[in-house]
Amino acid sequence: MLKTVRNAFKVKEIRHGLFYIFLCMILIRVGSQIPIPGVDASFIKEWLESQGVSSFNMFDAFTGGSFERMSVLALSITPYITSSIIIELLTIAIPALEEMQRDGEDGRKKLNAISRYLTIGLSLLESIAMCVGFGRQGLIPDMNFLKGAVVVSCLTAGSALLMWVGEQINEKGLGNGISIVLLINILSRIPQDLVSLYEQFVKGKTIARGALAGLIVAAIIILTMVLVVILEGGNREIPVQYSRKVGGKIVGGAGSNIPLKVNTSGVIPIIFASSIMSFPGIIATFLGKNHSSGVFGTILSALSESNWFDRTRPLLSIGVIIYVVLVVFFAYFYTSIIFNPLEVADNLRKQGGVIPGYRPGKPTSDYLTGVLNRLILIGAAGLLIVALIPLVLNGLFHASVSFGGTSLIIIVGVCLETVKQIEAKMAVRNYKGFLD
Amino acid sequence: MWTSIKKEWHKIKWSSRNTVAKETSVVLAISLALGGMIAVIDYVAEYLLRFAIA
Repeated sequence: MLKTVRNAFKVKEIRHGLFYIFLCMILIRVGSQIPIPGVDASFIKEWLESQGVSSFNMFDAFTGGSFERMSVLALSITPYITSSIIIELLTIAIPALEEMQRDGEDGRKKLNAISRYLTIGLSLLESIAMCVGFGRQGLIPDMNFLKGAVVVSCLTAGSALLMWVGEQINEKGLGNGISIVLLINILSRIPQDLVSLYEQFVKGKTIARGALAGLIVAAIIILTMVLVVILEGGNREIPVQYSRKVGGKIVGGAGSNIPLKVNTSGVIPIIFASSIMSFPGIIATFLGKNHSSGVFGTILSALSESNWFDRTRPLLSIGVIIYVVLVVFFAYFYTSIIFNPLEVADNLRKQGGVIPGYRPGKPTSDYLTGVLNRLILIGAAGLLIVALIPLVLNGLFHASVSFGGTSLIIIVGVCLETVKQIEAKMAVRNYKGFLD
Repeated sequence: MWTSIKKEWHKIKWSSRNTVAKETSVVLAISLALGGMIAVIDYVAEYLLRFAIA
């Protein structure tokens, strides 16, 4: 392993890329410690503790604790992710955007520019909402227009800075910029989570009991990670036969295949489902109705992930059913956006490719749709298992950790993607890679 | 429905045990190394900021 690391650093491109990521990491972490001028930095932390709001947990994990500290990077890179998803969805609805997407490099540049403007717009909107919502509750002592404007400017600038960092990593570093920023934020919570697990399960126990508890916790974390690695590595290869012309006659040519990932939509279904389920809680919190009793209060509690699998309140686990339905729905919905069987079948026909046993055109597209429908269900089931393991443990043993299934999927996906990119660069120089 | 899903399941190519072990260990090593590095940066940044504000 150490020899491989040494070899990796011998390649100038990798060395520079990793050094660039390291510099960005310092910038992000220092930025996440700088408080916004004029705000009460401890307000959000105290507010979250007093309200018992779990709806913001995932958001805070993605911001690397910046939201809790109300630092200049409190909005994190989420507005950029949201705007990228919105633009991706709009390319289906708006023909002009669809044309840009197909327009090669120039079109991509235009789409990126629109995404950037949308990011600034969303950041402004989010920071104004935060300023108005929390400002008068105590976030900004002696609030006035000028103080509000400073807070809004700092939050928007912080989000724009992270967007720039992400794009710079894409250009000069290694791997995907947005994913790496997200990875840095998620990993920053790990030391705190490990301390919390230690205090909950190991501290104050006899050595034997403490060691056993520590081993069980480590085994569960590694098992979840292994499941994510297995899920990310699974794919279904569809065989394709390409024909070629020899002396005016069409003869069978080279064989190839279309690899379809089992987890076609990545972590998106979990993020969408969690966001939608936490939405009523966030609205109720802003309206001051999150402690309501009766049916409304029970519904709100059932929608909160932190109340699931609680043995003392089994009724609240009903929310899991809604969660499962939403994850499966978004898995189908998002895959239908990123993979179009009709387009793939059409491209195959144009390139002279045929799936053995299926005629080009509609039969091929129907076959691909069928395979995809079954794969999505298998992938969504895998995603749900990975996402629910930490929730079950949190519910049964009241463990409070931020690295749930979503974080683990992002950690594994980003690490493997970056390592594979490094490996490709090492292979060119005939060096052995990390995964060889 | 279930029969076709079962058939599809058998056609999926999963990573070998060796690959899964290697990938998991690489991800774990990177996560711990980065997590540690970030903790040190956070500590130093927090200390310097407190010093600067004071």
